[in-house]
Amino acid sequence: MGALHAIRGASVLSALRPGHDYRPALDEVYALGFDLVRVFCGALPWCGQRIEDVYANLPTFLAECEARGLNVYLSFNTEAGTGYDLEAHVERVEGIARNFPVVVLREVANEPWHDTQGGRLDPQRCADLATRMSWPVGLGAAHDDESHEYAGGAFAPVHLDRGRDKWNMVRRVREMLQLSLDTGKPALNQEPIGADEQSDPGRREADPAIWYTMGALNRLFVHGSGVFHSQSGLDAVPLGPNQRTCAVEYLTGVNVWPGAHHVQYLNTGHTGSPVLSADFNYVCRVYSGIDGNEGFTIALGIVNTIPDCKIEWGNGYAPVGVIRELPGVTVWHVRWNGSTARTYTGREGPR
Amino acid sequence: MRFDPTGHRIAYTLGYGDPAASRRLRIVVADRTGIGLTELPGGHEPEWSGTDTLYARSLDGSHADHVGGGFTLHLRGANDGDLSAAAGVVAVAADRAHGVTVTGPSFGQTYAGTFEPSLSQGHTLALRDLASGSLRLERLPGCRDAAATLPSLGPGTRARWGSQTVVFDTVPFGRVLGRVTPDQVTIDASIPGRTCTHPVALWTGTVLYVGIVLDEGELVLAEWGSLTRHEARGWRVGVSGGSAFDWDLANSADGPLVAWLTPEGTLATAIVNVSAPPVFLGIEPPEPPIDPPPIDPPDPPDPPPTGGDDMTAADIRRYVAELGNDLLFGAVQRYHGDVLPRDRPMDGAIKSEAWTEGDPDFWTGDVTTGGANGFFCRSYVSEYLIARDTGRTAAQASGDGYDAAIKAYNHAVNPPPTPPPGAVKGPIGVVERDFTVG
Repeated sequence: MGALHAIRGASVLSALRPGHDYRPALDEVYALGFDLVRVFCGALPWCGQRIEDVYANLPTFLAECEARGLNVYLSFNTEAGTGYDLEAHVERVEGIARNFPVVVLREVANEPWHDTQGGRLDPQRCADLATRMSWPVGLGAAHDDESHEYAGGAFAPVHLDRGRDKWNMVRRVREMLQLSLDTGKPALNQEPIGADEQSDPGRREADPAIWYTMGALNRLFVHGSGVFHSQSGLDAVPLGPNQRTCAVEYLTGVNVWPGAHHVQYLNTGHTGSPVLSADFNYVCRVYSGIDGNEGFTIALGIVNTIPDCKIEWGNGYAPVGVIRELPGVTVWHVRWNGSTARTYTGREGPR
Repeated sequence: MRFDPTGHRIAYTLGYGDPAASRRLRIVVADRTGIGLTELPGGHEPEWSGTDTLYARSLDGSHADHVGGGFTLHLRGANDGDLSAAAGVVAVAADRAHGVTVTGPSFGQTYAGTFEPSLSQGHTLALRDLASGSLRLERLPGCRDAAATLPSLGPGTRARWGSQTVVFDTVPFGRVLGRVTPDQVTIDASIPGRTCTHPVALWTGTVLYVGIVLDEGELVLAEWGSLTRHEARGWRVGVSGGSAFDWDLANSADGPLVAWLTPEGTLATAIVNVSAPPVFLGIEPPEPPIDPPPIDPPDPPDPPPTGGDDMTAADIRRYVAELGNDLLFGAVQRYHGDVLPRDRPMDGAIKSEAWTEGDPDFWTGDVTTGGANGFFCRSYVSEYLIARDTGRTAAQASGDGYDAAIKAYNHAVNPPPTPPPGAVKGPIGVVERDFTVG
């Protein structure tokens, strides 16, 4: 077994469309500190990308990624409803990908349930196609972000539900922990709501604090792995100014706690939790991640001020510093003072 | 590790936590508080056959006898778990194929094809069948314990006695079972939802307790009746673990006394306050579903941007200004986060206005508005307060604050060069719930 690894990905989804110069986007992604890009390898009629363009442009694209030290995550099939031969397409793309070690993750289809896939990619069909691809392969994100329907691959790709208010949207990264526990596989937060220059509720989110929170919750619940999604990333162009700020905040959030090892998740009120109680009229959630004698606590969706949240610390834990503070979210470094037995329930699994 | 029958002394092996190169194992007899009384030659898993006589597995399989500090130590060759002693009787499986040989004051007997003996003070022998892996009970001559009507305990290991109560681990591990006396039925004494191992029973004369190790090292004590009702309630003792972990319970006037080996291999003891209400030891119920309904279903793939009206000159000037401000904002913000330690929530610190003593004229109009100017001001406030905490004067702290704020601006204007591309990390693997690399 190799070292645990947190995937720091970014979308450059339509990079392979004809005549498009994606290199500035790759330069920026690398400079910001991402180490992987996710790209669509199927037909994309909305931007003029045909599968022939993929075959023509993919080798150069992979070479450009290799030159920058960027890993690549290929999503093989999009808009299968256009009618192309799935087996032949998968083998053609796989034939190219096998020549480039930078291709480290594969996905059979982007949202295989979507109408644009023409009903051709049910879970069994995706599993069959996955056998033609080098592993690790994810089958694709299910319609419901808590569904196991397409979790039959090596990992479970997740497209986080973009509904609800922004804090109740982002705090649901926790559901990915449950999906991972239930399936025994990594859950990859690969296409949440996209960052943009202005918010569009249910579709795009421009608040940097939400992206910091997304990164921090990724670290807490799915060990830091995820793909930063954005409007500019959809178009494979350099990030707009606000999207760039969101991207920086996202990575800052992922780095809230070093490493990619599991931290012990404890919700408010869980036995042994650093936080005994809080007033949830004034804060959306207060989660903690414990790592030995210390850890971090994140209060997200703070309505007014910290005192209004009435956070009650306990079980021998107390904050020893503020790791990050943005409007609506505060993260504390917490430490155990040895006064109380550190006893946890709700452990993640038999490991 | 075992308390003697009186509960006043304990014998254990010291040295498991030492570095391998310098490890020197020795058997230590200590009083109930952990104060050492004497050290004897090294051996594993000492058990008391009387108040001054110990048996233990030798380090090299040989037989030897030692006397020291008023105690006699008999070392015998046996595998892990294959030696037990109690009330003048010793049971040893020197060779598992041969079986367990029990030697008492006036008898000797061999149980062929058995191993892992465990003797009660009343002379009931629990042992494990080599062929089936099941535990069973045997009554030795002069046995004072209740007679088992069903001698088989089923698949199990690590049987331990507390008075007439026998408890043991299931095979495979994860649950603990036991009988309150040999003639009673076997019950599941596990905490629902938790991995339970290494059970130890303690009869105080009025209450029967069971010590259990939960998950990977949480030591707890629970009352037998509560366990049989699967209430998942008990008292937390501590946390331990490690390959040499061992523990035992004894009665005391202050409550159950627990002794265990820490991961460092040293002795730890604790009195459990059983007068306090037992706490819940099970798995927390899941969060109640409180999700509000989604306001919008997931969106379909996004269309490409369409062309709009041409920008006016004013639009372009505004865009460039905003772009510059945003880039500066991001850079200053990153510098601020990376370089300046933050030991308190900034909003509260700003509202306190404690920092104004350093420079009443410091312009703070942008402190709460964000942007590059906001971070300039916040850098000043943060550094000012940190400097004051370290004993700097108000004037000195004000200078520190200015320096920090100016550094932040300079960092934004002259950012460090982009590092060269790094090496590709791969291939990526999947092991259980983790991504791995290399």
